[in-house]
Amino acid sequence: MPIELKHVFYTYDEGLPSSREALSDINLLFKDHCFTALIGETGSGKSTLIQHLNGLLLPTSGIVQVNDYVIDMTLEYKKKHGLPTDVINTHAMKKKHKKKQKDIKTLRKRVGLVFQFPEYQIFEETVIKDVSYGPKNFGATNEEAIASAKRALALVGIDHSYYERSPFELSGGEKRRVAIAGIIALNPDVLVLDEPTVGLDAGGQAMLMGLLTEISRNGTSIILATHDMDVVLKYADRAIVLDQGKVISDSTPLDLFQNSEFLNKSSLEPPKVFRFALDLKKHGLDINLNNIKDCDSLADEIIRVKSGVK
Amino acid sequence: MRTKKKEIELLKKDSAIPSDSAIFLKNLCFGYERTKLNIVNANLDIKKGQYVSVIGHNGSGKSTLAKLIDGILVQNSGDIYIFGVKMTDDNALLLRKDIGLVFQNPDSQFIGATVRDDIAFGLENARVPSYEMDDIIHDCAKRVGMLNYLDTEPSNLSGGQKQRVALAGVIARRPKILIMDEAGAMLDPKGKRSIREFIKASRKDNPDLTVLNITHEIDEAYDADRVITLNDGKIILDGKPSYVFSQDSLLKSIQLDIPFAHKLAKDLKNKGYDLGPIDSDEELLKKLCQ
Repeated sequence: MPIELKHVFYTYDEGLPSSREALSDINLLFKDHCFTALIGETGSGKSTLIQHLNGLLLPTSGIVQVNDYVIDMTLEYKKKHGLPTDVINTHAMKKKHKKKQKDIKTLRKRVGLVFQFPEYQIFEETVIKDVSYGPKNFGATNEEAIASAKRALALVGIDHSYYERSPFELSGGEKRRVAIAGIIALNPDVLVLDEPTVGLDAGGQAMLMGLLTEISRNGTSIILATHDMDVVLKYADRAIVLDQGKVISDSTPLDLFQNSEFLNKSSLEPPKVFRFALDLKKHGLDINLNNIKDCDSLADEIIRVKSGVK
Repeated sequence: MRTKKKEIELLKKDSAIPSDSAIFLKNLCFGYERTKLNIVNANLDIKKGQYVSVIGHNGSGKSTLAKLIDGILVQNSGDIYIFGVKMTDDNALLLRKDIGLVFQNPDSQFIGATVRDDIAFGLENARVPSYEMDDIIHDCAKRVGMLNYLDTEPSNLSGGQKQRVALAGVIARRPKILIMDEAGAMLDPKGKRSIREFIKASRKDNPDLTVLNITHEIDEAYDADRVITLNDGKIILDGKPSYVFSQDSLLKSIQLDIPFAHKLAKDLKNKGYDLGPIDSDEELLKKLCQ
């Protein structure tokens, strides 16, 4: 299910003195079966962008198209449908627009959004109730909802002994997995996550990223906002860099991390393993950077070079 | 009304505790439930001016420890001494004046309607005269790089920016002990660096500042004078960073990351290419490029 953004602008507090443009002329196409990383400094617009992908925020102007579902907020569209075009009324207009597009709920089912600290959204009294809440909310029967909850929980590595426990008694990492299961239970075509590894220990991070790889192998597209360049290098097919609400780079992680001129200007730096590989290359070792994903693959590459295999 | 005399009585130092001790824990035990302890018999002596990193996997008791030291949680048994004063129900609020605590999630620590108000809140609580406030707010906002946002609403800030404001709010009260509970976790690499630089600068400003930094970042933990490692509520490693991070297999067994050079050397060794002991990136690079 492709998602396309065309000339998307978004302004917080439009028309007020505190107004601030968070997205500025975003043009992006997220294709199917792709693992995309969204990178950018804090405040660069990542979280705002993410909330456009399932209609949680409607653009101030521009078009968001998810598969055949179109959220059109261009001036032409507003004029055609007699919606107010001036700034002050945008808010009321948005409400009206939202009501009209009532299938926006279906959209939310197909594009699953996992917020920063998803564990804060847990509210039910047992794990199984919390995870099956989503499917039920979207019209599944109790049995169906519980079946998809069980599937989702199995996927995140939470076994049946947890089903009847209170989610609030779980550790931070477990809570997060339960919260993510709540979204996976909706069986979305696209899974969007806002910095899911923040605050997890190394074991928890590896577990979560393994889970996402598994999900993306099953055909779900993953869009991931992250600061973790190790994650970008190892898992992403595509790396998009945002700065002050604009896309300033869109390439493979490999091209991004080799573009030293660009990196110097921005606050980004390649992950340590990549920097070390670059150092080795500088010192004359014939490292093929295409093969570098993490520490393990760098070790393989070093051995390959050292043993003279071409 | 609490009289000055009573305050002095409440803050009487215990002569058995070393005079240079900032945080002293004696046989400290705590459990959220009756059946399980989250902190098991912790004994610690953190000295004045020391910079201590606390590492451990999720659920190992790091945050619990921080909350006990700040008196937010009350231990089941054992004692906590802040600058030699035993913490009790009566003096916890007084002792807490010296402690600044920054949490991981900035959303849960915002109170003011603007950045300025939020920093001012802590000062008002501490009854700082209003004519002094402006300067303090200005100075603290500048130190965390948020000077241009003083009149911004918190909801219009990003997570990392909010965290910097939380930091400003805490240092505005000039704490003697600064506890950071994964304060940098939500920040980008640049933001994380700025936290490290912030700690360095704060300690330079005030060499007596004691810092307890709970973190998952190895580079950050390496900055400290001392690294304490928790596992299931027990202190299992305590020493200089170079010592703690040389315990590769132990750290790995409790789900923690090890420094890059150790990791790569180990991977190479596992694949049959043994370079011998490696301590730093430079050493590894040199050996590999011979």
